[in-house]
Amino acid sequence: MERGGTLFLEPDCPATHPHSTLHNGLISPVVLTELYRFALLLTGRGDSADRVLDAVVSDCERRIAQIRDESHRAAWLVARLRQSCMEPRPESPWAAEEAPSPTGGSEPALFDQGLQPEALILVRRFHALPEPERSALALFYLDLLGPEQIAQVLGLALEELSAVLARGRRQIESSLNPDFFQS
Amino acid sequence: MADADPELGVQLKGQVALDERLVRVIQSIEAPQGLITRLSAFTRSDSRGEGPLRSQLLHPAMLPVLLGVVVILAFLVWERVENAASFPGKGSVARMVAVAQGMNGTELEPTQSQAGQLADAFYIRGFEGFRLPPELERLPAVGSRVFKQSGHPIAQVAVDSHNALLYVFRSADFGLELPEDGQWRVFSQDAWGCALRHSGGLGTVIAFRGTTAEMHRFLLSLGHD
Repeated sequence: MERGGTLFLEPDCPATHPHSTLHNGLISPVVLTELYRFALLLTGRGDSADRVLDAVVSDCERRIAQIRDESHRAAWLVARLRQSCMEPRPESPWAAEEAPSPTGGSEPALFDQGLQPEALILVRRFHALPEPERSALALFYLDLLGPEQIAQVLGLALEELSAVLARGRRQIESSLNPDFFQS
Repeated sequence: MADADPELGVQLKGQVALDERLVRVIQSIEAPQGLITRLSAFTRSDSRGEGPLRSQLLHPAMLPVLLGVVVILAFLVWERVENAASFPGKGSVARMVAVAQGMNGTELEPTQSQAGQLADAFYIRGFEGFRLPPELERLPAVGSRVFKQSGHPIAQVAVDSHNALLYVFRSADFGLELPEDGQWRVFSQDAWGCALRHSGGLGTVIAFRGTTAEMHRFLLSLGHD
């Protein structure tokens, strides 16, 4: 899986590291989309992801320039987003509901945003994962941070991250119906 | 190593397939366009120096700008204060006050009356119509004289209060143009704190060595500021 890209647009300064948070303040739409996906996988709800990302980016934009080390900026932003996603919210999605069903009609927030059924299933399976497997796997599949930074955000050693990812893979795979892989 | 071990190779292929599949599905998720547009617009305007002024001001690069603004503001304030203290006839008043710097006390005729009771004495010496504002009338006078400046008489009284000197003159003689509102206008002249009042065609000056702040306090002690 090719991973890379620049977290922030930096027209005047070339990227020196694929995951550096090169930042002159411009968070690219591509990165915003990745951050939204991360929030969606963690919260399990489109409206929650929307709200949390809005709040975190609005808040972080005022502070992120104070972090001089660019390599720390992305990790800091992701850590803040993760922290906000983990906070209990009144609309917390599936705790009191039955097992997710793409046709059950219990996920209007996701369908309203045009998620494909397989994406909906995956979001709900992700949300059902325990921590830190959920965050580790989400960050591993998203194009935001390198392995070292993922480990740093989650407070794990690299060996521990590897074990967590392996465990998360097994859990997500076992939770998905074989049909999921046919399409 | 996985290529050499068939079982490990199958495991690895399965893992890669799972990863690719999940990445494809995740990448198919689109963020709400409204959210992206909103946040993009926010981060652009915030990052190009149009953000909160408070955070911009804290940036080290802004310090010279801040310093410049402070200097300009200080100049404007100084100019305003200077303009406020400036008035037609101020030059004559300044020369009046400056006369005291060359005095040694022998120029004054000793007296023990209240300052407000010197009208007759001044009349005899050639200054007609001497009158003091009420708040100065009861000050104890220790000496007085009449001297001339540009040919016009000025009544001068030394009072035993803050070592102050009082000057009374006809405003028309010295081109003094101030509203006759009975208000004290405080200003500094060299090392002297001064207060000037214009009323009834007379200008009255209080002067002592000190600051304008001390003059304000002095006026307050008289029940007037």
